[in-house]
Amino acid sequence: VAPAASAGPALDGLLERLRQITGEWIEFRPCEQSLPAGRAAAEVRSGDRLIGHLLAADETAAASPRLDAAAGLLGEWLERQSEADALADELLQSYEQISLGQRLAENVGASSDLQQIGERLLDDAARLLGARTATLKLRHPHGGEWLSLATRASAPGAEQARADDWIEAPVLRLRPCGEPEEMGVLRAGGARGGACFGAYEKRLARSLGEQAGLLLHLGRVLEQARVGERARREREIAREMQSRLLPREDPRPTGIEVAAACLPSAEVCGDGYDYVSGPGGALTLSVTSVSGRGPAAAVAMAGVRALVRAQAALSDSPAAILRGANRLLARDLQPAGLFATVFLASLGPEGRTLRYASAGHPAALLWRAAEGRFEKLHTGGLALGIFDDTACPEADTALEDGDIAVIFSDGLIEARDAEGEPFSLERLCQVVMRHRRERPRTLMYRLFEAAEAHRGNHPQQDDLTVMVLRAGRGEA
Amino acid sequence: MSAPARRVLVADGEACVRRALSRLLEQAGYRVGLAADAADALAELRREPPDLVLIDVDLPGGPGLRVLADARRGGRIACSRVVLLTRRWRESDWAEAARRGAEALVCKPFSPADLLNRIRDWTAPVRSGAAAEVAAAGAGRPSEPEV
Repeated sequence: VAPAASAGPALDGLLERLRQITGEWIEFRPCEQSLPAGRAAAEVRSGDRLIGHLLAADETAAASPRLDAAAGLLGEWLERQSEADALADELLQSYEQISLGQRLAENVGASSDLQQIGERLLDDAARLLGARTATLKLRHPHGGEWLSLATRASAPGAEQARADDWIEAPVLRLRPCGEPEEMGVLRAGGARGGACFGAYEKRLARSLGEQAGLLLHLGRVLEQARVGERARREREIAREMQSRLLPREDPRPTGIEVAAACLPSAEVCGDGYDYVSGPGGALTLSVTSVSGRGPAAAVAMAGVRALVRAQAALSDSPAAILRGANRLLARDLQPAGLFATVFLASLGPEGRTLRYASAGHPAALLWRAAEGRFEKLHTGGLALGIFDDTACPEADTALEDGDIAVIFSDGLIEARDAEGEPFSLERLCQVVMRHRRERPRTLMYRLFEAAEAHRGNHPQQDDLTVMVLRAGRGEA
Repeated sequence: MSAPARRVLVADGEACVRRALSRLLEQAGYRVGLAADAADALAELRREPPDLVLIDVDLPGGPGLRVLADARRGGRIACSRVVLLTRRWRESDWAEAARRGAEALVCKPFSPADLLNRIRDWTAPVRSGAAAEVAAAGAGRPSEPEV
């Protein structure tokens, strides 16, 4: 505790009163000044600390209780003064922090760009500290590397301030656990008028560093939120664009009712289905699934769809369509390590014959209404994109009224519950059996519902596509 | 810091604010007079007219604006610049302060560093070029404001 700097006139007044009370011509001599010989002296203490002596005019007052009492009073008074000064300094510091906080909050409101926040911060720092230049360096959030965020110089050549004319403060923020994180360092140089920075400026710089830490942390959080929001919007756009790649409505071919839908596991999907009218009047129906998930699978899906459509416009033969598409696709899919499975069915113009081929896709299921049994539409071809040229065998079958074909992606039968048990072909058959009299769209929803009920709370791992065809209209 | 031996009178009812401003100003090289109420303030103005008066709007014993008017009427602070301090920003106070020729109405808590910078400007010797500007600006102010 140092004697109060601003105690001067008040100290003179107090000494005068002590002189009157003690009847001694007393004088205060701080510690740093030497004691003259031939004068009685009493120690003046502030708490336990010696801060000076009270001197009498001569030696006659030595060991005088009045001189000791006066020294005690003076010590107490100086201690109160020091406490009051410390409080006043705290008040100034609090004022500075409050107003700084307000100003910095305005900065964040005005800009959430880290560079701009840094520049405004340095403008404030240079002005408040009376410095000609200020710099802000931040640690890289993921490593020890330092990043010079901003430098401000208010006078030409100010950045060459003398080496000893710099003030430095850590840029700190408190983590939620209460531990400080040193985010960087704030430096200011070239005190106004060529003087050195004082204790007040040092305190202020520390305060600025703390406020800067909070502010820059906020800026980073906002930046991350903005990046997250941008990514979310991009995913939304991708989903919107992808949904446009699916048919807007199901076709109404003669003698057949068709319904299909796709249930993505993420915003974008590697599954798809399509209907294309072939050159001979056939309707080509396809269900496609690209390996993997997410954006890469979705982009590949768009390519596969386009090429299958293009081939389907040239031929009514599923085998020819798949072979032609594979030749064009292999070059693109192979380097990316992707492949696509496709089940392709070509429905004759009268709606009674179904030619089909599969490129690595699960066999479609056919419910024979007249016989009351299921049949697998299996041909056994390889997925597209694995070899440069591949031949997918083709087969055909006749459809009778009430027959139901279910073409699906592997996501349906492999949908797993919490124990890892797949939905399975058996359960699929049970659902088709139970709802075989429903219309294709309803049956399709029942299949989605059953797969979802089977999965329970276990998250959907894969995209899920179902296409249902039913020969004839009305009940079987 | 260079120390202009300019005098500032701090008139505020709060002891901690007086002490804080006194330390801030003394460390910056100013001579400081202190007043805890309206009577003190008038006495200090009478004793030695300061270069700048920092006076609280809600000064005990008489609002700062009234003290300012009383002192101006007596011609005691004709040369002093006046800055009003306040805890609550009121548009009417600012309008009144401006009408009476105050430099500024400063809200507590203020930024001490900012205030000190502004005080340096307010107490800076008037340059010959700036004198005309000050005179022109002063022409709009009533030299003997009404109470």
